[in-house]
Amino acid sequence: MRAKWVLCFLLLLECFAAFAQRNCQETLQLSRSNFDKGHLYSIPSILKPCIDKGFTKQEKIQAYWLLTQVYLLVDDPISAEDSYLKLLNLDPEYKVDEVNDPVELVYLSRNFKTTPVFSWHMAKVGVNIGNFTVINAQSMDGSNQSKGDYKSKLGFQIGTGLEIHLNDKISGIMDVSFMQRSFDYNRVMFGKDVLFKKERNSFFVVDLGGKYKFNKKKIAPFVLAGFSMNMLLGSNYEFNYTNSQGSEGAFESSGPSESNSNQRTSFNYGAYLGGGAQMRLKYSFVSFEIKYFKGFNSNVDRSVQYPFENGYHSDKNFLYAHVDDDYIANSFLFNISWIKPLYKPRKINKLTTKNIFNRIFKKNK
Amino acid sequence: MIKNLSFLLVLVILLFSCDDSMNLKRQDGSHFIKYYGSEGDQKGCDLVIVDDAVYMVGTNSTNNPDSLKNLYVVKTDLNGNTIWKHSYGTEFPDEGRAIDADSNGNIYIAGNTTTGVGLQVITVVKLASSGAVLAQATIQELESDGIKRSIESVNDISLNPDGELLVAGYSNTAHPTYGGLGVNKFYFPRLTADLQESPIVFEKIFGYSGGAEGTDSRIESAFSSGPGEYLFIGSTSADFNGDNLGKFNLLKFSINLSNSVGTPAYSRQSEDHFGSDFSINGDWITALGYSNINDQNELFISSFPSSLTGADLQVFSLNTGLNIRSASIHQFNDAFIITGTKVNGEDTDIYMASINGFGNINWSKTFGGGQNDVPGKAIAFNDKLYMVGTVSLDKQEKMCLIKTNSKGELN
Repeated sequence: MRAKWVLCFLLLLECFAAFAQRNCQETLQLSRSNFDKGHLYSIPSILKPCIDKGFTKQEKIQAYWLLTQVYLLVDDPISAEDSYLKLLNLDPEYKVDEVNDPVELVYLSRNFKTTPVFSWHMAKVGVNIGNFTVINAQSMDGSNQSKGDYKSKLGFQIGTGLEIHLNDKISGIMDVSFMQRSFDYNRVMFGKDVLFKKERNSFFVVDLGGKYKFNKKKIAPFVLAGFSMNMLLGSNYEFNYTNSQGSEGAFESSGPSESNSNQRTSFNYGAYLGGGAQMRLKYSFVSFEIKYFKGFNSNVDRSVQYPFENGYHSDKNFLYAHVDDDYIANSFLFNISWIKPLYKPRKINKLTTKNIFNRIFKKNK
Repeated sequence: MIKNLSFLLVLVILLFSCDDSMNLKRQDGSHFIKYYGSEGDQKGCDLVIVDDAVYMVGTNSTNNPDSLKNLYVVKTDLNGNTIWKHSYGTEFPDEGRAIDADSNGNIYIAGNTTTGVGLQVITVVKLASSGAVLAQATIQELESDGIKRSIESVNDISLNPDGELLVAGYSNTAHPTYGGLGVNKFYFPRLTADLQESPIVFEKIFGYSGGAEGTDSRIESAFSSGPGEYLFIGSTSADFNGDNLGKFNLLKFSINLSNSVGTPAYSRQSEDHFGSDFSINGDWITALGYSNINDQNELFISSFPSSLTGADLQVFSLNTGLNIRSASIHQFNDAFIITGTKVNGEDTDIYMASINGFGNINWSKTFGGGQNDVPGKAIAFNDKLYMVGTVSLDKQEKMCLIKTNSKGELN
């Protein structure tokens, strides 16, 4: 019984809403009609009830567009700016039609900017593939005639970030991400034996850099560059040694996956350079970028290149005849990110990044 | 302006802080582990450093059933990079045992050659620093009827200041005083620098009079302590006290190897004792050996005045608490570097330690990877330690050279 009453109430509400909607559509048409007839002063009061409650978002935008023109014509620039600002708040990507819109509106629009101060890179995912620079090739094969071969496997990264827009084209970026990198290493030993190592590293990565966008069109290409630091979260390796020439014939042995985090440097740093394009999807962007990270430091902790574990010197070295090269890990990274601009429509020169920071610091003081 | 300069400065610092081969020097100069070999098994047992080159000797055996074992020599620079590696020997199976070098940079290697069932001779090869063979000799004993029936074995070689090569080992040839065929006797053949038999009249076989029964004497290490004097360390099972226990001996001979001045053969009740190597420090000799009781081996050292006269035998157990067989001892600064084979059930590892003259351990290190890893000799050079050995690597054996800092560390 009670449910029936609730249902009736909801239906009534729906009816009222539909009525109000239909009523506000008529209000908007009436306002336009008044505008066309030159009855300007009545328009704000006609629109106000529906702006407060009744207009859809699109109708509100049209209402503020109308009000902005009304206030410009009645020589009330403050109200005009206020209406236009409200319009921009509703549609930060709103662009006046410079050909068909009244020239006053066009000029007024030039006093405002909607460029976001910050953009949040809400989800940034991608894949990476390593590229290794060997500084000093190390080997336990005293022949010194062969070098190890690094073969990178596809890794991935996932993260988020913040973009600070310094102007329409230049912005600073700080990204944080979790990155996993995998690679294989193999080396011919004693002429015919094959040492094979599989390694996987995980990092927490912080990128600090800049981005330059070439235009503000729907698809905007950009270049980016910056510095990158990463902290090792974990590293594992496993070995396989194929002895093809032992006195007992061919023999293959494999080791379990074990941590070698202590043999890798905890912090690595380098620089990156890349480019891409971002495509606007209403009030968000999808960004595609490819960048190359060039490491600056060796990833191998030289103090434990021959590890000392459980009272033994170099247990792993002896078991698999392996010692790490001094190497730098570089990477090609491909990322797709969803960028959510945090719009702040504002009058030009009134609200700048500098002002925002000033305000923040003033508040902190 | 200042901001821009600061940014530029940071950029420059970062760029110049890149690691490269200029600021990240190879570590081979300070430490490494390196393996040497090719097809089959290669063992290492002794090394010598001459003219900034490391020469290691061992045994090479290929997988080819028709090919034989040979003496195997690898020459490397001090960073362990191979300069050359060659096999030497005879048409019989050879097994490398010892290496030494003269002041001209010539290398002498010695090994055992099996010439038949129960027959073994000693093969000595003299090499130029290039690896070219300069001379080769076979050392063997023939019975009174001129027929070869014995086993001669070499454990070490040493060059005296006159360039004479002293070979230390044992022979089971028949001897009128020290026992018949099949009883091991100390054996000290001497050769000239050209590997000819020494013109000096000397007795190259020594044993224990009347101790033929149960005597099993083996010389492990030889050293020329000065002109006309030779020192040996050995082991015997001569039955002095109604036991058949192993005892270690330190023996000193005059130039004709006829008059020995030796320590008593040493053993404790119910323990076998074996001598391995010794080192001379001025007027003192420090010998290394190991005792065995119930298959548990314990290292010991013993110090003697070099005259060996009136020596009051003192033995210091190293109390490692580990099961270790001794291998070599080498004086290094005020201490001794010793090596040994650490036994872990079925596996063995390489043990290296620094000890003082009373057997107190300054530091010890174990090297190995869970299979049979065996040390050879360790020596100090330019404040670094170099040790040759044999490592097992997936059913194959490889000669290895380990270079550490003065504390046995690989960093």
